[in-house]
Formats: sequence, C-alpha cells, structure tokens
Amino acid sequence: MVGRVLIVDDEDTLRLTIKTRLASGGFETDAAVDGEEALEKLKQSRFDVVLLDINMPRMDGITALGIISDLHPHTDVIMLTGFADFTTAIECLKKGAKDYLVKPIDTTELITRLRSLLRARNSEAALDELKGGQAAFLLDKVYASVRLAGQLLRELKGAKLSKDQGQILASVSSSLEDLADDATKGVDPAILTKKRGAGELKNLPLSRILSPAIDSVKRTAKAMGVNVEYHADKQSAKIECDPQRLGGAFHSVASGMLLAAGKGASLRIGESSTKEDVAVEFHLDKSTEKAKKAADQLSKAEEISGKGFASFEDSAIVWVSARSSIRNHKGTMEVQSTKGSLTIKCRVPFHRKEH
Amino acid sequence: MDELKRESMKLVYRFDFEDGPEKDFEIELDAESLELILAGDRPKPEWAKLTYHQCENCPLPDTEEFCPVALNLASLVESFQDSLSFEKTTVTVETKERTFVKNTTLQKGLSALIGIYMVTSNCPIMDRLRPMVRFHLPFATSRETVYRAVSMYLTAQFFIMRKGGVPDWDLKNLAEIYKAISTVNRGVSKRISNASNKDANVNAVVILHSVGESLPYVIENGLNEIEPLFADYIRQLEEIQGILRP
Repeated sequence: MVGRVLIVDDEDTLRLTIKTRLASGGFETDAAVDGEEALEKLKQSRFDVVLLDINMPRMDGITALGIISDLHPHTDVIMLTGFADFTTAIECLKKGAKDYLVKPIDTTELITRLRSLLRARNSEAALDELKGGQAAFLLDKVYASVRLAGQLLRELKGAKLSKDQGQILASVSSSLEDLADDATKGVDPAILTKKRGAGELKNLPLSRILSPAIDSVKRTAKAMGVNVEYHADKQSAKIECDPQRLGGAFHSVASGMLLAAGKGASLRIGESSTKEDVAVEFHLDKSTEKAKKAADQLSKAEEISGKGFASFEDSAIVWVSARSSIRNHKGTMEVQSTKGSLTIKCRVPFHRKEH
Repeated sequence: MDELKRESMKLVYRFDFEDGPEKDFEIELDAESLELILAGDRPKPEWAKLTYHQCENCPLPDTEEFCPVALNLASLVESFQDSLSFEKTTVTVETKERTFVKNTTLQKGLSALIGIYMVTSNCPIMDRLRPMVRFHLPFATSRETVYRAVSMYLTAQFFIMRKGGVPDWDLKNLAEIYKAISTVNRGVSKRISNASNKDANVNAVVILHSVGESLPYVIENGLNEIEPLFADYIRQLEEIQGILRP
C-alpha cells in the first residue's frame, strides 16, 4: 500500500473513477460525498491525503479544508475544482492545502502528484524523527545531567577548598555552563511541539522503563540531600513504547524536580495503572520559587518557545522535552504547583496505535 | 431495420428545478448520419473559435473557423452558465420509443445531454462514438457506458471483418480512442470554463471525462468486472474444449 487517500466529491462517477485508478496504483482509498461525511471518516480513520472537491452540497470543500487543517494537521489536502480560478487556489493554499488540481483530472498526473507528496511527507517525517531524537538526547541526557552536575558543584562552593581546588571548581562550573548552553542551542524548540513517531517500539513493564531513571535520580538526589521514595506497582503493566525515549522522559521529569527542589525536600514517585493507561506521579513536597515559574513557563511553552529557550528555567527546559516524548507516545503530562509543592502526573496508554 | 432510416431522430431533454423555470432542449439528429440538425440562428461565441484553447490532438485544419463541438454546445452552455453542478433537478428525456425520468443533479443530467452534442458535431475524434447516440441511454452508470462502448466497438469490428478488414478483437484501439477523447474533453472543459460563471457546465464534461478515463484501465484489466455475466458462454466453451481434449 502506497498511502491512504480519502476522495471527497459529490459526483459518484468521479469518485469511482479516481478510486479505481488509485487502487490500480497501489493506494488504499475511501470516499465521501461531501465535507461533512469527510470529517466523519477522518474521525474514524487516519488518511495520508484527502482529495477535496470545492463545490459540494451541505459542506463545501473550503470550509472542510479549514477544519481538516485544524483537526488533522498530519493529513495533506489536495483541492479539486472545475474552475481554474487562481484567487480560490491561493485561498486554498493559504488555508493549508498542499496542491490544487483543475478538473477534468488526468488520473496519471494525479498518481504522480500523490506519490511525490507522499515521498515528501515521508522524508519530512524521517527528518523530524531524527531531529526529535537528537533533541531528546540533548535535553533529557545532556542538559538535565549537566544542570544537575552544576547544582552539585554549587553545593561545594561553601566547602573549604584550596586555591587550586577553587580554580578547578570554577573552571569545571564554567565548562558545564557552556555545555548546557550548547545543548539548548542545538535544539529547535519547534520540533518539540510536532507529533512524531515514538521510535523503536517494545512491549515492556512500566517498572523496567522507569528503573534506570529512578536509579540515576536517586544517586544525584542523595548527593543533593533530597530523599527519593519510589512506589512501584506490584503488577507493573506492560506498555508499548520506545523504552529509551520514554525512560529518558521520566528521567527528565525527575531531574527537573531535583533542579526545583528546596532544602531537605522529598521526592515521591508512584506508579499505578487503569484499564487504559499507566500513570507515574512525581511529587515534591518542598519546591523553590523557580519551580512555580518553570510550571508557568511549561503551560505557555508552545507560545514562547519560538524565541528559543533563553528565558526558560532549567526545569522548564527539561520538562518541555519530557512532555514532547510523552505526547509522542499518545500520553499526557500535567504539572501542578501549589504552596511550595510540585506534582507532575504522566499518563501513557498501553498501546500507541492510531485508531 | 427500416425505422432507422425513415425519419430524423428526436430527443427532448427537460430540466425541472425546485425553484426556477423549466428548461427544454429539443435535439434533432439526421436519421442516417446522426449529425445534429441545428437551427439557422445560433450563437457563435469567441470561445467557440477553433484556435481558442484548441485541443492538443485536434486534427482539423486551420481553415476551419470554429470548433464543431463548441458550436454545438454554445446555446446549452449559455443556458447553464450561472448554474451550480449540484443543483437538484428532475430530468425527463423523451424519445420516440420511451420516456426516462430521474431526480438527479444538474451536472448528471447535463452530462448526458452534452455527450449527445459532442458526438454528433462532426469532430473527427468524437465521431467514433456516434453509433452510441442511436441507442442513447440517459443517466447511464460508468459500468453501463463501458458495456455500451465495448459492444459498439465490437460491432464495428464485425463490420470491418465482413468488409475484408482486420478486426481489433483485443480492443486495443478502443483504449486509444478513449485516450484521444479524454484530451478533447479536457480541451472542451477549458473552453466552457471560461464561458461559465459557475461549475455546472464544466462538471458535466468532467463526468464524461471520468468515464473515458476509466475505460482504458477497465479494458487493460480484461473487463474482469463484467466477465462473470458471461459465465454461460464460458461454460459452453469449456465443455467443448473438454470434449476435444484427448
């Protein structure tokens, strides 16, 4: 199967002809008689491309295009019309259509255009996947670890050190600052708001995905004087995920909490599951003012990340990355900051397949 | 068969709209040549000139001033230049033998009528479908049109064979004929798109084009879809082959 195409036209002869030709070209197709039926079909199933007529009863193609662009941003739309009207063509392209074909359509040309559109989609998706993986590595692994290391070094500032030791400490701290800056500069914030695949999927118990993150965080927390309690679910449910990426996301959530932990804080991590998903809750009983600011920044991250991460708190940067990975597993991440405490609840469904 | 020769062939297409005046079109065809007999005073718009969006495969010489298909369509296109393709209408088609009635969309009713005008115009490419007009089937589905086109073409091959020619039983040239017709349909749609404010006229041609587009692929697939209808003929052949096999 080359790709899934939804043909939307009020004329049955046209629908049938395109359907027959696309099927012979290896495409999987479905058809709808107007914009309303097209939206219903898009709710039920995912399509790579919609071929959308403009003049139709009930809901016309331009109205449907606006809704499809909003609700199904990963579905490309090619407009079909009986008129070579450039004003309408430009309006459609502005509203998000990828192409515009004037009827009568040469079905051989249509197949060529569909194939090239799908090739472009696949290349773009592969590039996004690569950029997303790089972003997750830089933020979850490099940035979070470097920031925590920096925090630990700051603890040493009060200790009695020789002049040479002090100079070494200052030099290492400065290098870590530079490394953290470089890590964020290497990430395009826009990639963190895009939906991508979830990498190489495996079916594993949640505890196995969580444990490397918990072990790492426990070691750092101990050095920082933060107590970590982990409550595993005895019947830890299996979930379909990329364990590296999801484990990295949990590591980032916990690291962000350590970066926002006040003196003598405790971090509780609890695992539970429902019939549809698993939940991991992180709760910090004493958090700093920076934690509240970071929580606020996370809620507005999509609006402000266009300017880069310059104004972001350390915790917010790693949480943005964590939330992106969790969303790419069809999950959610909610942050609550109240009276000096902080809670982050992550939910991930057992399966990430499209419905 | 004398009735085929006796008098001109007449058809009336009537469009009844839910909210608008009724529109009638009377078509008279020469009984023998099936050429459209047109009234003396007829519009000759600019878009009907031969060189205006002339079809890529047009075989007519430059000495012809007008495209015969466009001239035949001029009055009809003018009548529906402000109409929407999906307007609801009741179309009545009266022939000498029977009356057809269908609640349908304007584009569907119009496509049948435009189809007649196109193949009776003396366009050398569209003329190949002219025998089908004698057995016109209004509101035909794609499958019905494919069957009628194949039947017409095979009948033509029978006559070619009887006259000593080499018949094309593989339908190779029929696919070529329809590819050429698709090019004409695209040319005609460009002309009438510029002569219309709304999409009814163009979409009527688009319907004709769609059927034409699918036919070469239906032939390429060996008419698989309709083969089961001929199971009895095939069974008889298999029985004979069984008897002859040693």
